Amino acid sequence: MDNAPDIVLEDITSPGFLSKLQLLDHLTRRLLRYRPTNIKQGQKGFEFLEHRPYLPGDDLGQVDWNVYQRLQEVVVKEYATETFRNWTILVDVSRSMFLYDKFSCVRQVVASLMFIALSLSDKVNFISFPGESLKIVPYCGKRLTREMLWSLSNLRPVHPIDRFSLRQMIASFQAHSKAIVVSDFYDPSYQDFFHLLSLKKICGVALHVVSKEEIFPSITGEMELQDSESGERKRVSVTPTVLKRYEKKFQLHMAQIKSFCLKHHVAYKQMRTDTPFFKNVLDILRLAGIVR
Amino acid sequence: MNFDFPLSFWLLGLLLAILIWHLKERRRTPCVVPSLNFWVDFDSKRPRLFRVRQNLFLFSCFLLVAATLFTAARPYFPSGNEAPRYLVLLDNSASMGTQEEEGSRWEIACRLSKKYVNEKSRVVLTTPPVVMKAEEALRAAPSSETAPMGHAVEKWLDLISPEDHPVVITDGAGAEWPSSMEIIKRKTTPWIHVVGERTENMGLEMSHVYASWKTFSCLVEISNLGKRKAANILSWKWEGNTSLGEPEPPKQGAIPFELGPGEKRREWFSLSTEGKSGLFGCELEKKDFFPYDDHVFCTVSIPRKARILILSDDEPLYLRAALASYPEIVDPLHSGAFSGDKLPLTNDYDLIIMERKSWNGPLPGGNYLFLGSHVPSLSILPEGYCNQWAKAPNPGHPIAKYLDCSFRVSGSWKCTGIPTHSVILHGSQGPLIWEGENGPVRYVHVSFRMENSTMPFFSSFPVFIHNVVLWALRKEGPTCILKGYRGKESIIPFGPATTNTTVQRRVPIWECWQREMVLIVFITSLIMSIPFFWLELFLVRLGLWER
Repeated sequence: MDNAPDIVLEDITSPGFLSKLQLLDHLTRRLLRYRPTNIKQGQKGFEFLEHRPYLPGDDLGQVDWNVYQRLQEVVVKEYATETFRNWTILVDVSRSMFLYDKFSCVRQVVASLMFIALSLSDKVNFISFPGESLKIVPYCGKRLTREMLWSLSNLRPVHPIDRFSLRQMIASFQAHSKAIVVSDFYDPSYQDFFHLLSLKKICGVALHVVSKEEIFPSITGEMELQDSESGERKRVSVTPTVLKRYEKKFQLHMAQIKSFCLKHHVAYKQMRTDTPFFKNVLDILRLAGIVR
Repeated sequence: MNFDFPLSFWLLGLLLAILIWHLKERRRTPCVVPSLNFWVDFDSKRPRLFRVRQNLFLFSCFLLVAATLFTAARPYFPSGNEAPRYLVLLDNSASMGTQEEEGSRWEIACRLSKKYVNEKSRVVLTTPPVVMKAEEALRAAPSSETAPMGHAVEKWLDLISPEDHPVVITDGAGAEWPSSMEIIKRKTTPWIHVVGERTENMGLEMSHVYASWKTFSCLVEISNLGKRKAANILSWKWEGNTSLGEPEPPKQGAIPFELGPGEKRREWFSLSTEGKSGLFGCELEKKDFFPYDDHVFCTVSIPRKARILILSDDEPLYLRAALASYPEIVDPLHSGAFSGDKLPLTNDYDLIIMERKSWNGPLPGGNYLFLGSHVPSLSILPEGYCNQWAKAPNPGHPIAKYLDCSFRVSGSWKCTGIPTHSVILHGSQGPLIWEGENGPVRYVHVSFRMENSTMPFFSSFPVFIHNVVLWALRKEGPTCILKGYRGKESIIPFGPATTNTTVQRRVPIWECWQREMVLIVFITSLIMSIPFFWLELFLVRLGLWER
């Protein structure tokens, strides 16, 4: 491409942003749906799962005496076995994501999500796509926070390539894990991607990053438009009517993505770049079922 | 068309600025968008009507700026470029207040001035002490306190260019008038209108001036323009010069006369000048207040005699006879014949007549007459020989003047490619005689030998030689330069009369078309710009209109 898109990079390793993350972590812990513990993998957790009839050999301490008093039945409380949560965060780093202020917003939100996940002792698999050789970068433990922020801040736009490698990678995801996909979904291959996620029974969350400039372009007059991905050019006389037609098309595009996600049981969240940062993060956590 | 403020046209750079602005508007702004999928259905080409409107808009802007600058430059049509300018000096001395039958002399002078102003396209009116506008000049009543006339005359003379007609309106009675007239006469010869009673006004006028090689004649007319009978003496004098330019003893005489009011006397003068230049002048012994017409003279200029060198092997008698026919133009003392192979100094001779069959030597600069001579250095290549008749002389050529063309020629060269205007005599099969120039060499070439033609036996042969000698001298004959009074009694009406009494120098378009130009610019801008373009631009900006 002749003209590189306008890339906005914000330093997410600054002390100010780190303090924001600390605040967000504190807020999240208060709203968590489960209590974070130091229980190791395979031990019983604190999350109530079901009642079952008492069997010989069961610990009497597990008997629910309240039920016995009301129903005259000896039942035992069954708790879910505590396991590490697996978060998979996929971030679109195509050139279109670096237009306007989209990626700086994405960088902050993803950094927040990963920070919260690490602070909850969860495992985070970070994937940036598209790319020539996709690799999963695992993060586990809060000590990797700095490394994670550094790698996030060094993300650069890449040319779109074949998504086949991404599909192969999805095949390696664990079932019942959480996959958060952050993209502007201009590439129609996202449909295959979500289809695969639903097949693998992976709890998918689609974060649709939208800039205000995309919904309501401020350009007017005689323009030579250039596609950020393909570099293709087109001459357009941008008039108010043309802009209105564009806005309608874009709304339709967003509605199509949303309906597709709902159809494939993928949680959809439109992330506007002009929405406050905290609200965006909390909405995503709520959507992912992390907080109430 | 001229302009008062041509510097305004520097602002034509605005057109360039408009053009740049226009091109900038037409240029498409590059813009990167996330995806082109949302823009694919939109028109990529501008509508033709829009482009036409854009160009029309540019044109209207150009027109507006150009019209404004054109108006600001204050154009004007210079009127009467061909018409001469009349510089009228109006005498307003105290004597001009004298009452005559038709009013005061000043009023008569004003009437005359107005007549000039009305009838001429370009008139500048001048009244002592300074040059002023016509209205002011005509209001400047005569007064004894008027500033010295000499000062105004000098200023007036400064205005005069060679193409102008100086005119003086005066009664000739002022104390300063004779001295002022002397100043005027030194520089120019004006038309003088005398108003009021003319006393002792005797004028001379010379006409019918004729000068030949031997004689000079002219007619001198003496007029009594006054109202009284007057007696005077007319003195005449001829001052001749020798051929070396030294003055000879003058010939002179005096003619007493007496003339009543309005009477005229004519005197014919015919003098034998003997081929010498000189000055003939007539003068009235008694001077009056109008000295401009008391003295007339004429300069007679006669070219010196030609020195001729004949290059010949034998004695061409017909040539000598022809030259002897014109002793007034041929100097026999300094002319001669030569038969050697090496040319003497040609600078001493006005004409060299080559009578040889051929000349292979060098040709120094000078005037030559080749009588059938073959001169290779002139690069004239004959294409053969032929017998022919002289057919017609070139009427526009001075050498062909009075040339008889009925002679026969045998064995003349046949030459082509000679320009028509250079041919002196056309033959039946080509040019017979022609003129040419080869560097410093000027020549007349006769394409045949004299012994092969009947030309030397014709009476036109000496005429031909005479014409060639004059051609060599580069002079046609005696000339006369007449100097003296050329006054007129009254002006001759010229052209249509106008009622405009102001000084008319030019007709500025701005002054004549001021309102019209403003209206043109305004209407142009109104028609071209406002309804179609500015309004549209405004609506587009507001988003109420789409291009």
